[in-house]
Amino acid sequence: MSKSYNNNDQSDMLKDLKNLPKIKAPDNFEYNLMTKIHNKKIGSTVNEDIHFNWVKFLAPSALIVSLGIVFFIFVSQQNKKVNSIAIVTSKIETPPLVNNSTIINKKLTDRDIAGNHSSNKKEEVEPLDVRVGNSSFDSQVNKTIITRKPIVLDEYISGHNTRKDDLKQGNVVSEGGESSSLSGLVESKKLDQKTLNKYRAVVDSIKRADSLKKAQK
Amino acid sequence: MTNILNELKDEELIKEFQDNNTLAAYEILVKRYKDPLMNFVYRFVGDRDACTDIVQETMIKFYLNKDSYKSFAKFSTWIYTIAGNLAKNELKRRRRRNILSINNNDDEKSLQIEDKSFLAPDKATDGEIKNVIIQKALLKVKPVYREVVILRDIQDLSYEEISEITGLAIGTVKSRINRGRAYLQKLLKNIYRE
Repeated sequence: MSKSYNNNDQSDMLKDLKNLPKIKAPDNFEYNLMTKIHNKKIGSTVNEDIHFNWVKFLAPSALIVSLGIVFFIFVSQQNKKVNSIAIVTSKIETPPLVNNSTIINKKLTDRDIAGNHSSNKKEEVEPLDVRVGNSSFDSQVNKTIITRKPIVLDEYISGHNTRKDDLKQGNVVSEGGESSSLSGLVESKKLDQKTLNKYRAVVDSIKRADSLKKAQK
Repeated sequence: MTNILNELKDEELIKEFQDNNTLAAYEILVKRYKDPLMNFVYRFVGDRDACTDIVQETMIKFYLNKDSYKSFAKFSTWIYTIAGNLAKNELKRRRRRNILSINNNDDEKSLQIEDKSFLAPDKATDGEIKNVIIQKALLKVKPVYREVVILRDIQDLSYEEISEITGLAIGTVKSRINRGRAYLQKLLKNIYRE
């Protein structure tokens, strides 16, 4: 059974409720409040900054874009290298040249050597049969052949070659054992004995031609 | 300047604060409402330290969200609503904490905090003891009833104001007040028997 309470019954209680002691705020209430407000204000501005932080937004995208650019550059360079190697290897397949004037630079492939060897059967190399400073063909070949360390052929022929390693530097008389400038990219191949003999014969003919010239003078 | 502001009504002060960001107006409002809010929150939560924090939080919310106050409402009801909501949140948090502590058997590990409401028998007068008993009984009343009883019988607000603060219809407010009072009297029957 629930008992109903009217205001008369509750008057004492209501009077006591009204007379309950009033709780007051501590003395430093306002000081603490202002300190908190100051801190909260700073916090709110920091939050706003976070919301509009473009750097955070742009940094990952910039990184991705730069990575993409670097990747494209790398890939294009790789392609260029591959293309240049292909061009070089195709250009290497040109007839060999012996240049009396100054520098002999050449690179031969086995195929060239084989071709030349077969042509040698038909046409013998004469002592004076040396191409000197051949114009258009030279320039064409000079573009194609790979740069090597030079050898001064005149010195070598006259026997005044003081640089002991010249023989090693030149491809003409060496066995071609020296690694090419493209070593690592192009497979270096050793010349066979026949080719080597052929080039020795060429050099010998040059020597003889030179000695004949001197004798004539 | 401060003297002029002191003579202004609450609604005029907050308008001044809203329009011109006058800190003096805000401080006057804080001075006017800090004690009534402390009293209300203390009777509702029953913990003085928590009560101070809640009232401070109320004032901070008032400062930061001053523009959310609309001039057609009474300032007192607006600020009481903020404080009441924060006090209810605190009670919910405590209830959740109690449930967790019961589940974890952490009762023994809980900190021993001095009960400031305790009065030594030799020092306590009848009135003081009665106040402590009433406060304890008040905390046993369900929060929905406790809030309206405090607002009506301790803070002395009108039904209309309570209706605005709680967002309830006046009829609901009245019935809740009656139920709260009845329950409180039931709890305090030993005091009011004679």
